[in-house]
Amino acid sequence: MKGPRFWQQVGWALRKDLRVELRGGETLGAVAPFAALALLVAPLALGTDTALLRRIGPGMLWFVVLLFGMTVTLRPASMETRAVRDLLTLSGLDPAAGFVGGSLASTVLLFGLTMILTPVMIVLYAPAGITDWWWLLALAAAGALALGLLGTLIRTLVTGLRARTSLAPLLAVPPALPVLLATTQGTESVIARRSSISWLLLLVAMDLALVVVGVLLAGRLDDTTR
Amino acid sequence: MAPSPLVRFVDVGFATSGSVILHRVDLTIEQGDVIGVTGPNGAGKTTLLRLLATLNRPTSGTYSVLGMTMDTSPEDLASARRQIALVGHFPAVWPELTLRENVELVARLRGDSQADGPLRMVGLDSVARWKAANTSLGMQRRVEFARMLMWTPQLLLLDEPHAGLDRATAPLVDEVVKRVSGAGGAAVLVSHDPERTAPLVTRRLVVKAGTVSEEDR
Repeated sequence: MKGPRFWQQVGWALRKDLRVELRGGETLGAVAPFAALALLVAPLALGTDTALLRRIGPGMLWFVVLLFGMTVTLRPASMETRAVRDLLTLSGLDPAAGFVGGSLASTVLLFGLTMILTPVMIVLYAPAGITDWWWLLALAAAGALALGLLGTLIRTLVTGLRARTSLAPLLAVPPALPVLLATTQGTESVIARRSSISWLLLLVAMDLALVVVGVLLAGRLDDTTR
Repeated sequence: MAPSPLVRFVDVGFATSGSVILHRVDLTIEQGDVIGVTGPNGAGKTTLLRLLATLNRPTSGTYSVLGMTMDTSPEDLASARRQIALVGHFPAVWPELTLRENVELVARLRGDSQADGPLRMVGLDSVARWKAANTSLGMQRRVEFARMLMWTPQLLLLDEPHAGLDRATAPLVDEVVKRVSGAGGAAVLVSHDPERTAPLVTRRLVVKAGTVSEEDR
């Protein structure tokens, strides 16, 4: 059982990662515009077949979130130096707290990215609009958390490797496919005004599993990847 | 009864990716020791510091660092590591954080929250709001020493401690080293300029091609 000190450390790690990211301006300034542009490409290529666009919209949204979101989540692996990692270890940062804090920071950024891209998807792919916004928000939060946890886990795994920049996306994408499937199907259900509870529950189950795996492995990974 | 040594390495070796970096190192560090380490580039000095900091584990031999051994549980390892300070060759700073935030984060992890005093002591109080990315290497080194002024480690490990520091700040290094050894800790200083560290050190080690030997003073 983790005590209050653990959650304090989670808070510090979260604030640190968010400050570093927001001051760098990468997610909002570079990734989000490019991701929105990527969403624009398919309608341009497919023309005005609205039925088709409506069908592929949710898949395109989450595919773009996955690809561009992974660059956001994995970026700290290429930025954080060994000296900084050593400093955190010797200062007493619990690796599990670092994992949870880093995952939450990634989740906030991915959720923000999804919130920027969702209106773009609705305008370009599903002009009829969405009525069940709360379900969509819940799916976006659960999906962002799953991708944030997974990305942070992979980032911890590849830290210290020379080929980390190329290896990380290769390792991250296959286990992210179930998340992609659940978020896409869930969003599709919301657009079609069907229940998306089963997909949301699946995402929550994946979130819980990733938290447990990440917290249990964080210390070991931290030690073995030096 | 004599106090047990802070560090004891017996026949310690370290290899990575098939190459042996250090081999058959026998080393004991007692309370109050200030050890100067010299040697050519690539000899294994930084690896020796990392082994002493427990950031890497030896691949052979037996060791004890502040009571930690191979069998120490992760919880005990974490609490013992908090007694070790390492200032490496490259400054450990987050470029996007301000100098104050860089000091404060570590202070909080150590259970403190006051960064003002240490920042003033290293002469960074007037630029504490600057982002570390916009400061010189020397200022970033001073951030590391500001952190060091907040507590007294039992084992202080410094890699080229005077590098990048101006004349006004360099004596801070000496002060920190004396404080640690005077409080019953020990310091290990890796330097290519043994003359600069000579007034501080009580023992001198030479690392050459992965072997460590003691030099007579």
